[in-house]
Amino acid sequence: MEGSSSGGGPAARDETWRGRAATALFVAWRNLTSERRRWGISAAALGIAACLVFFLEGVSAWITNSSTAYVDHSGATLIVAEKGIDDLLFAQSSFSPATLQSVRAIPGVASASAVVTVNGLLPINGSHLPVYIVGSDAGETGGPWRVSSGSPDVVRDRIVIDRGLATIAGVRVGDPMTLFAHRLVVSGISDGTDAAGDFFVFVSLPVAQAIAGQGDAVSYGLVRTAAAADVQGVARAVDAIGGVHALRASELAANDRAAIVDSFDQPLQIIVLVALVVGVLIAAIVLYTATVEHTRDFAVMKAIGSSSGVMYGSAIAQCVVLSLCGLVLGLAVAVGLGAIFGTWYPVLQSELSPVLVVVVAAVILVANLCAALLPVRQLRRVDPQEVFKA
Amino acid sequence: MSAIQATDLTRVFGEGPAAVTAVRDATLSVDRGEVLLLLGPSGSGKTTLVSMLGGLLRPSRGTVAIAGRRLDTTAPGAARFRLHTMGFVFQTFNLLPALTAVENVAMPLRLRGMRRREATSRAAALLDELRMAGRLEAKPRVLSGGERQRVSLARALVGEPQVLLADEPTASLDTATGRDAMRLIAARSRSGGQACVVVTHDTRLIEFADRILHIEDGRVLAT
Repeated sequence: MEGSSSGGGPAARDETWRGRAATALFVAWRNLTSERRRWGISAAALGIAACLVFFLEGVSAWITNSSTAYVDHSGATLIVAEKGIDDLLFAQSSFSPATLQSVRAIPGVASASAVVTVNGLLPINGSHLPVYIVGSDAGETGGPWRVSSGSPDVVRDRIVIDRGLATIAGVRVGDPMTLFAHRLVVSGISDGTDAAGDFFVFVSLPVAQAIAGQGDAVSYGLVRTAAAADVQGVARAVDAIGGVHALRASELAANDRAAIVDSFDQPLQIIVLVALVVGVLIAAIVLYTATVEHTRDFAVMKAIGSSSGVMYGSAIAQCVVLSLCGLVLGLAVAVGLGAIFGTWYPVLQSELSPVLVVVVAAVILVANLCAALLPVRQLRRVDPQEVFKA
Repeated sequence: MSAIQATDLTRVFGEGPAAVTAVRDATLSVDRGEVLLLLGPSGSGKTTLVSMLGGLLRPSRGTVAIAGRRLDTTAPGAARFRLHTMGFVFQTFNLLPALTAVENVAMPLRLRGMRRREATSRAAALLDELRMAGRLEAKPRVLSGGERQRVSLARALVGEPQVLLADEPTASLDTATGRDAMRLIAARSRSGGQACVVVTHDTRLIEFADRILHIEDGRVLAT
């Protein structure tokens, strides 16, 4: 059978193609706007799923980024730890201060600062908050790196606490604070100093040692090497001291990140996957039921001569519009949730960078487009003879 | 050459002992500007026959040719051919509920790729001719039965097809409105030069036809 006489040159064909695409979009838009309540509810449902994905991916980014915040800002090239200890946040390293003196004597070492760390749960307002106490000597590396109010100095009973902990505990600069039976005074509030909700508390070295209860033992040594030093050679020299070993700061950070990802991020990603699947199922169900309910309309379209492309394009355009509405809604709520948590209850934070937003939005959009395959399959089966049924 | 030429059209549904022959060896032709009334009781095979004439149903045997071109429902360009050569009027109007009257009428033109403004303009002009100028932006749900049928007719005619196929066009209308709709279909087909096939069980429509064929138990009988 021959086609009609509507063809022509490339320009005519192009106009026809554009016209059909415009018609598909037009039909999609009319279908959406004629059932506003239904599509509004559907967009909201997709928005909730998208919000979960955005928010949890933001939490995941925060967990990953914050897990290495201390090491990243320590300025150390090498970190000396008790032999067998490869991370900062989970293990408890301990060695003699004399060992650190030996490290300082190694050629190429510019400085080696002692830090004492203690992981604990602090009772605050009837609940317990995880804190990571870091003791360091005044003037040495290892103290707070970003103080938003008060003084960064941690000498004697003066401490600097993370803003999140200060917010939840209702503590300000100058207020007293009891830390594991030690009465101290908050001299400064620091920002961005937590590791996945483990709030940093910066204290003087003697206070940390008193809390740790291990005499004058130190936990880690933060080593800065001289500009021209052979870092690998220094590390080998540290390893030869006995009882301790040296890790590159980047290596220790990677270990911390891996431990955090194993502990928190994997379950989080499972929840993200579930939210993504729920979103796809919502999109599939909404589009499928809408297609089934409008079978007769599509049969009419087929009967009067609509091409498959226009009908499929219409279904896909509806899916895209619905998904974009859900994405915008979900992103807005996720950003709002992140701001609320960040301001009022920073135990949980969400870091949504523009790149992460674009990637997550693209994944959701592609997933929802997969959901559009179900109604498209249904459209293929629509029998144009439906139009003759009374 | 006839605008519609159907030869030995047969359609069998099912297989084996359960097979039902809905249309058997139907042969007919319709010229341009001619109104053919296909009259028959319910279940006589009228709708099956018009489905085959419209290329919506593949015959088990026999052929349909529109302006000398043989119809093949499975050919890649079948829908496009239908879009450019045929107009349909249905018993239940089958207007798209999400679109306004003028948008419904403009749809075949837009499916051909015509720009929205031009398609809407042509649709509005035709609706104006059919005394629907005041109802262009009305959705189908607020139109009366007669108005819906006029919109349906306008949609069938707007693309100036060679063939107009009407399936029980008056069945959902009261007597006066039905006669008005049939008068309009016949008049527009003759003036537009469309070969028009009207399938109905309503003998009161005989006066509008140029020729009448009866269909009984799937067999087409000349009057």
